[in-house]
Amino acid sequence: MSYVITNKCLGEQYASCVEVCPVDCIYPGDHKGEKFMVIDPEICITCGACLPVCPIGAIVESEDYDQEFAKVNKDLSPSFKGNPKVTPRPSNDPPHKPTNKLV
Amino acid sequence: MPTPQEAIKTGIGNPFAVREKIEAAAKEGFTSLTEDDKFLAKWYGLYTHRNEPGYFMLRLKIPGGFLSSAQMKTIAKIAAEQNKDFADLTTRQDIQLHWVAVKEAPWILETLKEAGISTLGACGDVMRNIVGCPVAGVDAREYFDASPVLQEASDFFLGNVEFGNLPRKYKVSIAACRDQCQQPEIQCVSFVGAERRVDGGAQLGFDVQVGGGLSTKWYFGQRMNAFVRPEQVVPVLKAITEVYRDALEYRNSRSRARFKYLVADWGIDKLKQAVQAKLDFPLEEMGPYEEPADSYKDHVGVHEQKQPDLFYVGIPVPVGRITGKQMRKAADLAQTYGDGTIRLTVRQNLLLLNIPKDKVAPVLEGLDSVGLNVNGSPILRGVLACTGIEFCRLAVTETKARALEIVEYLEGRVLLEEPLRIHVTGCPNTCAQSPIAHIGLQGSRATVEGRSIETYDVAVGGQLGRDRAFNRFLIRKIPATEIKSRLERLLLEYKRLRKSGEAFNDFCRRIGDEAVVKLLAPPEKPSDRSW
Repeated sequence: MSYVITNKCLGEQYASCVEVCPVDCIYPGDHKGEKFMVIDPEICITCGACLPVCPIGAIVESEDYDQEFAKVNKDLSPSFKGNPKVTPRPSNDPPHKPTNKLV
Repeated sequence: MPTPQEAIKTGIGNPFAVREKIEAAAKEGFTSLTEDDKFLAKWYGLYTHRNEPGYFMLRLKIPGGFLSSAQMKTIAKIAAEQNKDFADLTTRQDIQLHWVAVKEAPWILETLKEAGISTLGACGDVMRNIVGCPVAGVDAREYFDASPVLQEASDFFLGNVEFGNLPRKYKVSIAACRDQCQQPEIQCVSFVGAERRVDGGAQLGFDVQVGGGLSTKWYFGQRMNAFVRPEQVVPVLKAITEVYRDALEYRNSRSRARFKYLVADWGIDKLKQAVQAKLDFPLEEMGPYEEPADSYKDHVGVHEQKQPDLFYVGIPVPVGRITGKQMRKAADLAQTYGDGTIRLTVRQNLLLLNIPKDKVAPVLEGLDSVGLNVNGSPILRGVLACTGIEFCRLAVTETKARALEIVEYLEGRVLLEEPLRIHVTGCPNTCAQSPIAHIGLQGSRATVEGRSIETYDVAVGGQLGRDRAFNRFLIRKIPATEIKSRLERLLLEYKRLRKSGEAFNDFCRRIGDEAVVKLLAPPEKPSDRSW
């Protein structure tokens, strides 16, 4: 079981989650031309630290909540893993996408 | 959509019925337990161990931390015969036994039951151990003795099937001590002893706080502005719990199921209305209310009780780990010199009550002879640690041993006048209450040269009471082996630069986070200091 970063993160990439992850299993990268982040299901310990800190609530607590993006997280983790860290956006930064809002 | 865990609970109906599965597994073996059974076993206080299949942690229920000599002897006996002769005192005045093999579980549960100790609801989505003031009834400064009310509330909820399936764990404290040592700020519901001035006289009762909680998202409790008389506590608590139990929207996500989320979402007014609707008496208003300043309180030392010539002896039990030998000795001393009254505290410590003045010395000697020294150093006294990677499936770091290593190192190098709360917790679930610590150490991991190493994220500035604040993370992922020297530097500089009598949190606020981070950085040459 693993937490999953959903489509809400596409084009946003706040990266607030990275700092609080105790096992460094969240990686940045590009998905279909948009900025994105994934949680590595091989490493995630489901501690729950990331979910509450995402400014737009893009994280869900298990694959059951978003099977499509669970697969995306799983498939992209190996290639995202080596990517350099990105600078986090301020948590009150307005979302880039009109469908997202700060929670 | 309800979570899978909801289906497990509804499937069995009465979660306490998992006892049958435990009995069966005792005969058929651990592998006969399904994952659902292991989830439900929590309702009996049984929690699977991290590494070794076939073993559980068993948490007891010790309301308000009240224990008798006879009970402590029973626990020590179980620990000696089955469980490697040690136990862990917890942050809810409770006891955890490890290495409980499933085939021993029925015998252990029966033995505890005969000693008057239950384990029902020690873990699971239920009313957990109710926390109180460990010196209720003997504290000269208390508003009144709230322990009968605590016991009544505990008895009402113990094994109560009507409340056996809450959305999540549920933590309550009830006390009437002036220091509010029952930590109302971080409970789901807390009854806080208070005096209300009315009609020129004083009424004693409780102020109610709701919605506190730590874990990965930290909330302080809010006052409900309700004054509750002692005889009203159980009906009010029952009403609040019914509201929580029946708020079905909190069963859709385990990470948003705690009562603190309901309070945050609904707000106090809506909650109060819902609670009032269930009561056949009006909730009275509290009126003016004074909170204590945050001051370190651990009940350690020798203290006069309100009863003439009687004292209680408070002993620090470092990181809560107590040996069978120590338990047996403490129980003997309590019985021989006192009246067998023992209390556990939220700082993982032990108190012996009702010791006559002339018997204090032999009690101290006796405790000292088994390594329980009443004169713990301020560094030692302030440390709290969760179970950690030794047994806990959620932990990412070793905690108790690391905490003791840090204490031993710092004790000889930094002389503090007053204890600081230094809490060591093995993961972001903060079971060691790291957010309210002066210095919170939260376990994490980092990859260094291809190897995964244990690290700690360091936060400072937590406190309770009037100026309550959660601490702030300043540096993440300091290698666990380096923590002690980084803290040494921070604490030595605190001592050197503090204003006279300046508290640690005030000092950190005054010099600012950036400066504190510099003090936590790897040691530099003295000439590199720029301030």
